[in-house]
Amino acid sequence: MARWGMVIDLDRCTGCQACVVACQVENNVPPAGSRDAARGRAISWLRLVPLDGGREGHGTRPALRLVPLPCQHCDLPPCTRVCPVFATQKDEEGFVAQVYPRCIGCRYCTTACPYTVREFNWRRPEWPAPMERSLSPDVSVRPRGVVEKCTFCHHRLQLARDQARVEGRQLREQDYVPACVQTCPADAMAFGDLDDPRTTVARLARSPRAFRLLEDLGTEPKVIYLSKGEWGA
Amino acid sequence: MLSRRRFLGFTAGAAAGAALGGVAGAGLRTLFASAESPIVPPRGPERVVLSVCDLCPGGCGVRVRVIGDRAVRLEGNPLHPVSGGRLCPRGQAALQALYHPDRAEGPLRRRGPRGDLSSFERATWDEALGEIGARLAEIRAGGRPEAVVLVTGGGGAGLGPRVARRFLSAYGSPNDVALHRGDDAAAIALLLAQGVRAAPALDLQSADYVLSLGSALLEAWSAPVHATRAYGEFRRGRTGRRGKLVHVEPRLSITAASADEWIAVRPGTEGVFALGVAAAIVGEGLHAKPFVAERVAGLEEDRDAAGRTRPGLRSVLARRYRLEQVEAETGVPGDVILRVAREFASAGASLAIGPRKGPLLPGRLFDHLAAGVLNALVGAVDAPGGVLVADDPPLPPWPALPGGVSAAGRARPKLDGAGPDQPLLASDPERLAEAIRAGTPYRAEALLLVDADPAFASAAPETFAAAVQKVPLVVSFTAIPDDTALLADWILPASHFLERADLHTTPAGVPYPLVSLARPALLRPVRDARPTAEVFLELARRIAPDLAAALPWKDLDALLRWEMEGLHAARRGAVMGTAFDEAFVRMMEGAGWWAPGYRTPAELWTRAHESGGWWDPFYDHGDWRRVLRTASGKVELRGDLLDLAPAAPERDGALALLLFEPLPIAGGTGAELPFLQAILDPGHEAHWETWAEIHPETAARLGVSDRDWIRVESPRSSIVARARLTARVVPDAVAVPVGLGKRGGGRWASGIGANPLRLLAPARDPLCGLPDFGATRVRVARARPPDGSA
Amino acid sequence: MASGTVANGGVAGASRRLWIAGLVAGAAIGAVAGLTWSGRPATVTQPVAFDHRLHVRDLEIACATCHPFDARAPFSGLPATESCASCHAEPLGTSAEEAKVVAAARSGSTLAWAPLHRQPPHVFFSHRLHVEAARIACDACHPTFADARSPPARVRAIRMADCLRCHLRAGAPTRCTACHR
Repeated sequence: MARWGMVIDLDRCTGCQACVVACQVENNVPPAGSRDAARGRAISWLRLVPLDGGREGHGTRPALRLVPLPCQHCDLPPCTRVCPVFATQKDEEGFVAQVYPRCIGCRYCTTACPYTVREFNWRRPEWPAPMERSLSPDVSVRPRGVVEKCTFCHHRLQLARDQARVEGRQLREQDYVPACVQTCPADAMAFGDLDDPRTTVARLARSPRAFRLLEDLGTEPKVIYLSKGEWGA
Repeated sequence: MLSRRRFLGFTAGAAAGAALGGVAGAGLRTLFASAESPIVPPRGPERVVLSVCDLCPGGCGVRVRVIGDRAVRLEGNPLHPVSGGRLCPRGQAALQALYHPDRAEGPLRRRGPRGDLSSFERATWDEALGEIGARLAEIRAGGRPEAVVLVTGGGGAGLGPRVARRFLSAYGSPNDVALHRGDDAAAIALLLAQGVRAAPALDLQSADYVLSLGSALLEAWSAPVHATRAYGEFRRGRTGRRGKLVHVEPRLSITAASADEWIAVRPGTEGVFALGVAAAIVGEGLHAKPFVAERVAGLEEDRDAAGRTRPGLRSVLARRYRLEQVEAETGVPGDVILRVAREFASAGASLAIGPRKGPLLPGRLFDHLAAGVLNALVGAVDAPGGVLVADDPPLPPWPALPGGVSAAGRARPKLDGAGPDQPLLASDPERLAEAIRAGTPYRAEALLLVDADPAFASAAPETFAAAVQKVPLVVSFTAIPDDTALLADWILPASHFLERADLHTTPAGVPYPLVSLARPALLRPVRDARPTAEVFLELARRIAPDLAAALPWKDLDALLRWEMEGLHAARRGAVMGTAFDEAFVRMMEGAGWWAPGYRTPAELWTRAHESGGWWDPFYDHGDWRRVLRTASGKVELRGDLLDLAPAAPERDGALALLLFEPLPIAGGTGAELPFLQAILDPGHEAHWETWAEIHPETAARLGVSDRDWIRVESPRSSIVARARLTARVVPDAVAVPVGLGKRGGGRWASGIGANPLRLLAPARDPLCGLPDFGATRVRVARARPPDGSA
Repeated sequence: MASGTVANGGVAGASRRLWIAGLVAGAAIGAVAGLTWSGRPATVTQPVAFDHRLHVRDLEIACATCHPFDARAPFSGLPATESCASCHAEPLGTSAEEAKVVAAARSGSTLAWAPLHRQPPHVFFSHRLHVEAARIACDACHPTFADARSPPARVRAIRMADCLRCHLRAGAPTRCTACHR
């Protein structure tokens, strides 16, 4: 069984946010207006988080780091343990999945998640006509009152598996990548089976630059970051 | 608001109630998911269509997933050399533009006062073209074709603006005015140094050391996806060879955040810094001496073509840009300047990039010339990792322009004075606005705006707004009515790029000639919109036979076939293909063979449409006769111009206004789309409003706290913005993003934020006459919140 | 309405009243959803009184002859009028129902078959995978059609339990993410 994971190379990432919009388009995230945004109610499954180290002198690294932050799909997720209705679970392939019809909107999971990547639907999703025509048929729309989050675009895995089985072959490495990985212009994101040593993600995850966010919490995230490099390294 | 417990109580009640209500069998699972889902699944056959994104001039090849009559997903076309299968956030948001609820329903005619969308009423295309065509025919018959003015914007390189411009020339007007583009200053610098009229193309992926002089290399660059892909290669694409990026700017931009080093200079001194580096390189003798001796003129004193003595750059550097002078002017310690000079001269392939900040902000020519000096000194001219020059694609010439009234009109002086008065400029839109307003040297009787919104996105928005109202017939070709369209007499809805066939030529900054092809993804447009190119073909037929003869195509497809047949006849290049195909074509062409993979024009047509287009990936480095067309045949260093560093700002207590263009709203477009409004700046997590970055020390002096509303006031105008206190900008400056503050633009843009272009002083770049976007000084004070904000 | 109760009621009474409001709202939603769960009434009328038994059992016509399945579409297709016309361009019998089919084929109009199954948007189901790759017979999930003499009229939901029964038996995946999206 695969263990799906992602590697984000901060040395390639330019902070362009193509991944952010690709994610919203792919997953039928409704557009928010300025009011919802001001109240912190705009939904984004993937966002760039600025880490600001303050002022620095000439000749040193800029203190600003922009870190793309999707759901980390932890191997030991804190969110699933607090759900009273089993609406969020980690499955054998490593996805931390959200079952929208079960979710009662209590938001314990959004509080428990140390990465703050879970989003609550404060309102009924709306697309002013004719915008609903662009919605993808591959992903369901979440109703008001439930929590949603990054799925690693697992609907793409469903389609890729379907295709592979019909063609009577194994799933290949490039058959399934999430929308963010596919669009990244700097090729800063990689995706695949972390347990298969031949994949690009597994190779990159072994890099000396590899680290994970809030590692000391013991959540065992499956999103692995590569730090910025040194000149000549 | 409901407390959590009450909410749970409600939910429990609802669950019990639902059970009573008789859906226990179906279960809450299905109830919740289906009762609220707005998805009506698309029906019909599924297909993939290749197109070209035109949300910026980059022209990325895209693949569109279409189900029935709906476009549901846009991805990069993996075979396309610009996108390489990737897209930027603008491209990803393109379907929001296609299905935008505020696109014009059809042609709109103004019946009430200007400036208000409710003054417009629907008309048919036949009425619109009949009325506009009749008026244009009348002006031409009256012998005043020059009174018709065309303003084109900085959009894509598709057929719309090309056909519009040809139409205007054939009609008989010289007043073909392009709004300034971000590449203008860099292109003028290349013209002065190498005698070539083109935007420079940077071979970033082969460079080892990049010195960015305030450039927006990793933001709204000419072709952002192309540049960002190259950057990824520059960083991590070559084993054991990681490029270094040093960024020089008074503000820690998104590009600076990716750099290995941010060097904060005083406002307006990027070029001075570069010349300080150049002085150190020359002073220490670190420059590429064989290259400079063979290919560079002007380092030593010489005479120009007229026999006048010109100071050599060496003496200018030694006199004007000594280390301690540059240190004092830029605020950068001398040892940092020296270190950068030594690194730049020794790093392998080094590349300096001038301060192009976005599609609207070209940077000062002085700074671009200074970057050019550094490139010349290390031989980064037409070399791998250096500055390249793209060849135009070999498209066929179009039929000759008519004589008679048309030729006489074209011979009249241009209203904007570009050419005779401003020899380095092809267009001078701000002067055009003044001329229209004053009615001199002659009156403008019709104004056609194609992808252009000068009443919002130009160096003089207010002047343009006033000028537009002086013209009796103003026609705006736009999709979502913008600020200028609201002032027009007619709004002719332009089709979205997914609704039309198109042909795009090489975008600025890409070193290969290429022709990208688009097929319509939707057979029927979402609104009653038409391709701008086809509207001009139709107008030509309606106005006069000689005009129709100059534009003889019945529709876009006929024009596309003309172009592709000419391309076939050029006998070079190949259809777009995989990396393997590309390497094969390069190898063959390098050896002097042509291996196109197509024989007949029909075969080229089919295969180019299947892959995304045609290109010629072979770059012949060191073809000096092509890339050095100066009088000397060498790269010319202009010590005479570089002696004139911009004056240091007065110590007047005012702040320097630093403008920048966030990629999502660059070029004055993008704010219309909610996904882009939501991601304006990740560094400040800014969205849906105009913010102003101020150094905490400056803010303390002014009594401003973080997130206060402040008034930013120049001698010309003032705007209100949200203060963001940050050490990512130098003291004595205030940095404000360009792209918000529209009147038009639909529900998500109108009334959001403020337009800092209104603040600009009417200053000109003294070396070339472009607007000087860096010369404005502003005062800042706390203010009341703008209307409608919390 | 529920929020009105909260706003006007006292703190102690609010919880109970809210619970009741929820009960009422839920019952209302439930009643409506019971009718319109699949977005249409629970019974439908077909344009022609089609006899499945005659076609499937007696004439041994395969399901896919008239119900083509699309690789990725949630439905197997409903019969196109052209596929009816491939046999019924001219009358084969004398029934009034057949005459409707012949008339439609001649006039080029469409027989608007009413779908009986609807896939909720949060479920991924591939007919292609189940029919082609897993070789599951149509009547495993659609058991009542082949023997029906009258046109199918009852909207019938296939429930998750139906899926799971087979998936558990066949060792097919039962992870949420295998089918839900």
